[in-house]
Amino acid sequence: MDWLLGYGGSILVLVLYFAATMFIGLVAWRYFPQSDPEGYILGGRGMGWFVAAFTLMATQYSALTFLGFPGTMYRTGLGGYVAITGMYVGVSALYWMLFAARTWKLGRAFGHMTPAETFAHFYGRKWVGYVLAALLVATLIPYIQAQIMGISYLLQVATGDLLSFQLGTTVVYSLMIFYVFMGGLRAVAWTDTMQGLLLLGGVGVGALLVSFAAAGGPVATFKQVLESQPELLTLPGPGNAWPWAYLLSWVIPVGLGWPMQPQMWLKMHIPRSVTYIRLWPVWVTISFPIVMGAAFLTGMTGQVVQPGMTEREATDTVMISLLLEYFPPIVGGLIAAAGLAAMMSTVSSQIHSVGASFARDFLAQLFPDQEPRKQVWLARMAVIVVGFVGLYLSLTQPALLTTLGVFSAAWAAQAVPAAVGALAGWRWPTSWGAMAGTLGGTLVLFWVGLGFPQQQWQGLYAGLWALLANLILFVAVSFLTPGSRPAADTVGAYRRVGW
Amino acid sequence: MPGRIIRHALIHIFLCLCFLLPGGLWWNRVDPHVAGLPFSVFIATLILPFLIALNLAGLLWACWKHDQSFMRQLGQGTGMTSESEADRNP
Repeated sequence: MDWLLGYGGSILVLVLYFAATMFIGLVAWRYFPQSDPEGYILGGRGMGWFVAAFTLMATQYSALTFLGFPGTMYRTGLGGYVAITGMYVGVSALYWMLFAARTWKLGRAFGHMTPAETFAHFYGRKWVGYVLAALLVATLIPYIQAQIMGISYLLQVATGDLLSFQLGTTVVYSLMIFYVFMGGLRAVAWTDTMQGLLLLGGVGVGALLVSFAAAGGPVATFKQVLESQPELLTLPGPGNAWPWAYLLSWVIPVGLGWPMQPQMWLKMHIPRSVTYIRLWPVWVTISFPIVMGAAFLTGMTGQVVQPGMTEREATDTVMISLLLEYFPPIVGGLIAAAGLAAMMSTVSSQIHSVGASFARDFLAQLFPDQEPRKQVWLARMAVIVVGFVGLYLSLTQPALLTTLGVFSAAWAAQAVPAAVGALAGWRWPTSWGAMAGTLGGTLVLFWVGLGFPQQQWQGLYAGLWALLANLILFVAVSFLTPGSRPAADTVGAYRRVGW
Repeated sequence: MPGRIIRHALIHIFLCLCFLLPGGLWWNRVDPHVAGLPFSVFIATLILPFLIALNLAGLLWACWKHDQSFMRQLGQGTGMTSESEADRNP
């Protein structure tokens, strides 16, 4: 019995979790063989509302939900919660509200799958698609690495350091690549659904368990924080962590960046009905207080029982360290499985979308006469290559990727003006305007982000400066290059597709 | 962009401003306690996300007829041009 409550039980839970994930992935491959790109990349555009909702949620909540955000809220209190709420529920949900159904309809009308296909089609230049596809893929690589680091950490904790960083990472990563390779989007979406359910239950239950065991429950937790550190429950928080101006400047570019990332864009095409895509922001908003409320509660519980931690690594892992302190390892294993679900669902979607981008945005454009079956195999090969390049970089170049990873979302947001121009079907934006804005914004992001302390200038986050520079260049260059406007036929066709 | 989407987007932006600036200046305090929670926590974690979700559900409802009509036309292979008619005459 002791082994079941100890690390033996924890390992058993993880083995069962991995077996269930692989089983679902293989069922998707066995019963829905994919011989055309639409099937492999978009699951045949035929997902029901339940799978569509959970795959979105599981993809959106990632390693940060488990290992990053509780730490942010531990250090900065309510400010961290408000910033992350503003980002997801405010800005990302607004983008989806305006453009998700429109993206779905344009995909049905013109057969688009990846974001770059929409850009290249609307602006009438293949190179616009190449540049934006390369940019969006580049923004994902550091983010994939962050997830892998999280997976490795959770595996070490849940197995009592049985698995080394390299071995654990390689095994889990290879499993993911295998089911993405075999089952494509359907495998990703179905495993996401299981992982989303596990995540929702695990993070909520984990936070409540920790709160009740360590501090007497949520109300008692907040009461104690109010008595000892009331500044944690108001903005800007301790040490002026989230001044209002900085908070707004962070929320806008980061919130716009998530919907631009290829895995999120691909998923705007997968629901069977346009109504299901309109449910997306509703679902994000409803699930948010559960998932992030749990992260907030965990951070505050940490402040009650382990105040004064300053190292980022220690605060980021506060949920797991509290669970291990108050419960036997098997409980830690159960919650770690939920954490792994959050991370694996995001990484598998990212690997799949990067593979899809290589197959559709580069190979299919360079060699347009491929048979559908061959395109599917090229997408599968791209999944393997991209997957193992990501793994190699994670094991050998973690410092470089961490530096780039800070900007992952704000970097992807540099595609927003070009995307809005295309999705709205405006006549005036030009291919040169889209390029100037995107590349100029990227340069400003890295200049301010890497050249100034704390990635800010004049109290505003680098991402907002980059987005402002992007917008100015997008508009100015578009009006200076009227000869490269989208074709009138294309604009007309986009306008005939409804919202 | 149809008026129904613009209307709900404006409500969404208004609610977000209530959540951030300038509404944040009003709710950003720890008293009074509501349901055992400080006022700031109660508003930030429960009330405003609920109102935003309600508005998003309202948009879903407002688009319902148009979307059903679009899906029917899509099923008949004529859906790509005719919904814009509905958009022009909401």
